[in-house]
Amino acid sequence: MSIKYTPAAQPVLIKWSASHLSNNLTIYRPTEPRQLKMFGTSHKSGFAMATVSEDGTKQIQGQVICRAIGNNNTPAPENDARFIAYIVQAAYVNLPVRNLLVLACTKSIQIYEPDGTTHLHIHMLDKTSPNRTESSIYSRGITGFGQNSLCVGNHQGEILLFSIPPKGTNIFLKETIPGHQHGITSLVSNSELLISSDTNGTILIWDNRTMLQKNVIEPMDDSGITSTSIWKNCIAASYANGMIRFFDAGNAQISGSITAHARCINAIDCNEEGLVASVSDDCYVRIWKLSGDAENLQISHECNYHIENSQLVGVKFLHLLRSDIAVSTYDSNEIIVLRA
Amino acid sequence: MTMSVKFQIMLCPCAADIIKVTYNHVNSMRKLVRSSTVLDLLDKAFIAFNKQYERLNDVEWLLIRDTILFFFQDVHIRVSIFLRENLQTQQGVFIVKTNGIVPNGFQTPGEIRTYKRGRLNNTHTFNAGEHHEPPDDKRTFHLGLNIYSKSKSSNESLLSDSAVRRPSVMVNAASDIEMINPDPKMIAQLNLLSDLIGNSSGGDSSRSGLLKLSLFDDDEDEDTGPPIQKRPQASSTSNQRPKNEDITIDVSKRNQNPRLSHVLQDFDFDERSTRRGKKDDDDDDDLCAMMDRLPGSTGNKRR
Repeated sequence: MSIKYTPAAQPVLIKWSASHLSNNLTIYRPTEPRQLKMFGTSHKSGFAMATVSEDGTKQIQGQVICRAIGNNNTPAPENDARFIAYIVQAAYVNLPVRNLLVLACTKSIQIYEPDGTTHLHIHMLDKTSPNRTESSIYSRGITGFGQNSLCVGNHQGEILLFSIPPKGTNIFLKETIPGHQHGITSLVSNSELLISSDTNGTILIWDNRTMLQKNVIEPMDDSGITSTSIWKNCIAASYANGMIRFFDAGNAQISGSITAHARCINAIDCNEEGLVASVSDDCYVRIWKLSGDAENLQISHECNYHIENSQLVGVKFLHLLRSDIAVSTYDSNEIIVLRA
Repeated sequence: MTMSVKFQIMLCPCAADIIKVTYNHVNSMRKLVRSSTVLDLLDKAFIAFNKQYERLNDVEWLLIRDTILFFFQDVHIRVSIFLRENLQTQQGVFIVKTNGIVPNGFQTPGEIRTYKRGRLNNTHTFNAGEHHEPPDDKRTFHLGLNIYSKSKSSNESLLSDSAVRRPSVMVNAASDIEMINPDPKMIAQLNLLSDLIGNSSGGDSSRSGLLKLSLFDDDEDEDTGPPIQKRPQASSTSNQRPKNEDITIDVSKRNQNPRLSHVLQDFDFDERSTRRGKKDDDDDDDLCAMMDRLPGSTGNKRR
């Protein structure tokens, strides 16, 4: 095991504790050098974030609360339980034209400026009766690609494609793309492809210029996918039964698998060096190293890090070229930063 | 109560185990319900629950569990039974142990497999940091069962408190009936024990048997050997293992009398003091006065 982590002297403190959701940590990695990093996790109906200086000493906290929208798309009182929306997934999206904070909630998708100050757009999800078993209406899976496209998945297995203008609030839904039979759990993209996964374990590979399906990866076993990530042409998918599987995005074949955790995996993340981090309810963060490419993959185990009595719900690499990570815990308002 | 539901949901090994927790809840409720209409309704509700939830896959269950956990977020009440049984820290955080048997559908962590052209090419292992075992379908699922019925707390072992504890123990007894197979030997041993101490009252023999059962479990914890080793001090036929009730009752009767006679003597003594016409002083004064009058012997008799 070649990576040893030590916790940073000061964890990132946010005002509210993190909820128990998958992929519940998002990091705004600034595109310009002088901008500061932001960390955020979702908490029930709100999103708590902290802007942190490079050495971690100065922290500014901020919160965003989901809007409750009643019937007829008018704002509803915040304590009316019929209209309370819970955040299912929150993510910072970096597009060439603009940066956004997207909150995928039950009943709606809400889009804000990255610092949470300005509300840009709210899209109410279609209330038609959902498919076989999902009885709640939600959106999940957020990714941006191309110049100005934002994709969010929903409970029916459709991908909603939004067009984002460089300025202003003129965000509109360009297309609703059906594809999955089950609710979407995760979306990732790179320069050419869009990868979507669902609760059944199916992965669809799309060409993100034409939005046509290129390939299908059928479920490997009875377990669904909780989180996905992509490195070169290799798709990493984490499953609710503790497995991580790697697939070749070109020919949809399996390249590798790891029996990684003893509990459901809540999040995985890849950086550009081929490091993969996975966190789970079993209180472990595990780091794996990928080398080669999807056709000829080598996987090695780099690190186990155990955080006592903490069900870990989110992990992100702080930099795409280094191995420092940040981890969030259910019921805790500390985001733990681990430095290699 | 909030914390115990939070405990059950958080500590479920996989999210679909919420079904098993519900099964345990419903089974325990069935034992407590007496009216047949209510039982009927309970069964109907259970069937409807099953119909709706058995077809969900595991990630759909995760969303259900996460939504339930919204409700319990930031609740860190410390519960005495969890603190005692080392299930909760002093800050109110539950202790999560994840070694041991992995849930159903999981594989034990530790293997890395690589594939070439879709076929298994190479397998090597890594150190998972904990000891894990493959899933085991046959083990009983404990979350959702009555946490007090299994409790080995010192409070319930104090025999002097058993009279006070009786109501709560009888509630446990209803759900304990099927959990503990009453071994006739054990019942006989426990009957003997309770008779020796003079706590047996009239009433249902099965109930008093169950009452002793919980005491017996606690005694077993305290002694290293089987309880029979206690017997030599109490009875002269201690070498006999009580195989059937008759023998044990005979043995106990011989020893019961000295205890009862001690108790009777205490009562006599109290009457004597009032006959002498002493004023009704404070209890303390009476006790001191009594102890002054009887040098040593009664003091030993009082427990």
